Amino acid sequence: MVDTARTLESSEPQATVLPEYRVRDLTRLFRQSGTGASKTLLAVDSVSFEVWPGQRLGIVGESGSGKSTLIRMLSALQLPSSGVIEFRGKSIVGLDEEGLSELRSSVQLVFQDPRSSLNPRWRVGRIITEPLRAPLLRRTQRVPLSAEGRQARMYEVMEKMGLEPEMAKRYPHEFSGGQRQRIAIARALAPKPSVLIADEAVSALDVSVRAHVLNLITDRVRDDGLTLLFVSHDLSVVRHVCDSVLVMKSGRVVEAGPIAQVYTDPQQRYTQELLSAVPRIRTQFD
Amino acid sequence: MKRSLSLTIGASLVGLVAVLALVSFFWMPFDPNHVDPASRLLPPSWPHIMGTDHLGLDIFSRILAGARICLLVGVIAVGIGALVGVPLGLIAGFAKGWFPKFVLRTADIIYAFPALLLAILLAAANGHGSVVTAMVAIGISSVPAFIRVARAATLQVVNQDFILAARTSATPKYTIALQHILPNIAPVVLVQSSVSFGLAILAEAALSYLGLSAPPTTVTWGRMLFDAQSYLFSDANLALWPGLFIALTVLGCNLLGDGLREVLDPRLQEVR
Repeated sequence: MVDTARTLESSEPQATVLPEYRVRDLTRLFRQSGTGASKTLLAVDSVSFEVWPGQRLGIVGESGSGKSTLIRMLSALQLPSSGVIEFRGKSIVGLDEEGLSELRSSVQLVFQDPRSSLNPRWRVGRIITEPLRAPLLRRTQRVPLSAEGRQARMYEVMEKMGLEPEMAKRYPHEFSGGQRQRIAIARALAPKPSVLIADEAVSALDVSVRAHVLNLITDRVRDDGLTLLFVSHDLSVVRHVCDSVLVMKSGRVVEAGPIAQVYTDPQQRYTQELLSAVPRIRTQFD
Repeated sequence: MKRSLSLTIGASLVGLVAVLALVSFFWMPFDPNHVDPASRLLPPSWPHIMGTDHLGLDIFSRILAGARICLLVGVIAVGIGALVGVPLGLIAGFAKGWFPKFVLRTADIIYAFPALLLAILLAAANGHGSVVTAMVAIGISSVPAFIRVARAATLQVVNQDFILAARTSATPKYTIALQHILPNIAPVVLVQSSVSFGLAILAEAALSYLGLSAPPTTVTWGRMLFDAQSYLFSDANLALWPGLFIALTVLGCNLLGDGLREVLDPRLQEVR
């Protein structure tokens, strides 16, 4: 927990430490080609922020606020319309896979729905070792090159996620939602990433399972010194896992800061509304 | 594995035809091309259990021999259709840019040509019709269906998160296509294969009937129908048997396709 003290408010860090991510004026437009005039949707609108090593940044906002689009751009799965994304000081926009090797070997994703994120026709062992078999990651020498090394790494991450070794031989549909999500996290941890991006990683889980999976994530983040980007619409979950937070609305960042500050003294009406835990029906917005 | 009545019946019918074809290699009651004027146009009786035709040929032997061509045409035509159509459909669903559009428009153009027309074209180019020109023509005309089915299935798979997960760890595109997408579209392709198989058999029968397939010495069910038409009102027996076997085979293929769809549907599989 040493590095995690460096949060958003430390605007002037030592020159030696590079941010993991530096994002400037990031914008993503979607064209909606309907009948008649085509409309454009601003999914992400001039977003700027930094993510420092060891930071646990929560990204919150209601659905449709651009969270998923944002992290897909951060993991180079989607191209921004304009703006700058630097990963460890180097721009990643428009690079080919070869140029993304640093990012690909350091950043892993956990998705919301573990039914969709695990190939139903693959055994669990093959799913977890998939990142270890990617040629680009093997060239970076960060992953074990031998079959035995892969096997050992697989059992290592499975154990960390509380999965029995014999589960490696089974198929995803034989597992419960919580187990599947732990398999998905094990896969993400297998190549020893330094940044973990979780996209609503516990939203699809039962409340009883949610706490367990959350604790596993926080344990890994703490013990392995990971940087965490945790996307959620659930502010109580973010408070539990993160040290700083970014509040998004309609593609814009409306508020950002350390958890304690944002949660105790929200500056924006929108954040206040998100924080009021009890859902209620309003007659009109703002 | 889930039970399905369609699958059982379909597989039995197709299996029956396969057994007939196999048996014909080892044993047939008579030489299917042995002309015997003394015993022409016999009704079903011993030893001609399905009767004889206008040349005294044993109909049961000819049904057995005809099963070979029937299956051969089905296998080769579906093979051509799947081997050409599935990779193109997969790329069309997975790739971006001009190539998918090009593939789909080409498929539309081929779709507009009936197999029959294509077979006549090939037969004309070849000088005469043969089993090979028939199989190639039927194969080519079944390609567009495979392209569409494979593409539609691919479009469903590529939007799943496990494809994104593969991309975040820099899994190469060809690995994603072969190891993630292909196994997931295989059930749909299998269903399409069995439906195309039935259509191919039907098309071959039509081509044989028109004399655009095998030469007269090769026994096919379609040609038997052709020979039978002059005797349709006096000896319906001649048309009944080949017609019945064509119908049963095609019905079997369609039921097999339906049954496979029921058993392999991933949405139903998820529940068990």
